[in-house]
Amino acid sequence: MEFYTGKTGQDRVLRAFDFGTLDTAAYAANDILTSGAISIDAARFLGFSGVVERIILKETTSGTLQAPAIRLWFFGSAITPAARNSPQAFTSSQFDILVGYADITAADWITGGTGVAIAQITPNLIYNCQATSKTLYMVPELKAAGETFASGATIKGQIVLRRD
Amino acid sequence: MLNRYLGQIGQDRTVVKFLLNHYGIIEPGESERFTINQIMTTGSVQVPLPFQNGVIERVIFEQESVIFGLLEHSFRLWMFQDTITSAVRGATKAFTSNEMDSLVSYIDIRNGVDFPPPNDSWFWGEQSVPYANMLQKNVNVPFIINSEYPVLHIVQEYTGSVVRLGDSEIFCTLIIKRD
Repeated sequence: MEFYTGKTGQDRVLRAFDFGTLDTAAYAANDILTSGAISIDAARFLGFSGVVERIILKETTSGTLQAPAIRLWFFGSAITPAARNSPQAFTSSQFDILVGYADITAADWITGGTGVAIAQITPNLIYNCQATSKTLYMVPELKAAGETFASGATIKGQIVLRRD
Repeated sequence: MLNRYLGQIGQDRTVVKFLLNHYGIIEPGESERFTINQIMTTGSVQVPLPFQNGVIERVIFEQESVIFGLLEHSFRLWMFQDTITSAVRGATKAFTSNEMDSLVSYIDIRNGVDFPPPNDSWFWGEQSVPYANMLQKNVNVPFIINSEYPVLHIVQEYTGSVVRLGDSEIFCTLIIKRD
């Protein structure tokens, strides 16, 4: 009967994402971490909804782990945020399609081994994509000043979505 | 009529119990000793699951020993999709980036924190041989195992300062809600 799962009820999916190339120049507090928003396939149909149940971030580096405090902004349709390493400056029209945000604090990070750390949160963030979208758009904003990533450092992650 | 559909078009629950660890005795009179961030398991413990998607809702730990002196202890339970080869019993954890890619979740068991009142995390069972105590904790771990034969690979890390654990076994029970 498994074939009914996701048809008569909700299903659960795991998505991977990558923050891409991080700037090696020091970030200031409230700077955007990435180049552009990160798209996440989040709904089964246009305009559908769900819950962000779990987010796991993983930082890897050959230098010093930054374990940064981050605010993850989620939007229900595509947006173009401020440039990487520039202050967050969402517009009124962008906030019109805001789904919500989830905070990761520095204390959430746990070192797993040399040069690798993870952070795990359970935001239980309810979302609804815009009528023309099946995608969530995530924009990470650094919340602490002075974070400097080594060349080649990465932040990747997994997100667990329960889709309606 | 409704009962026919419970667990068929909706969710149901199942229980998975497994031996998490057998704490040893290094030599007569000397218990196995762990310090902070040391791996307690021999590699990763493989726990087959009956389904790929769901939520771990509750964990129960039972510890049994034939000698008195079971210690309440704090540990972190790491759960992965893949085998963890970096985990060496008694060595400091050294998970690799690739291993972390398969991380499902971690659960902290903190002595004196998880259950009020403080310092009463572990509940003593009957005072007979073997001695036994247990701990239960509600958790919320959504998981998706990308395999036709889903297996959780579990690594136990000691998170207290130092502990000596006598010859004893610790079992773990997972109560899982299936999607």
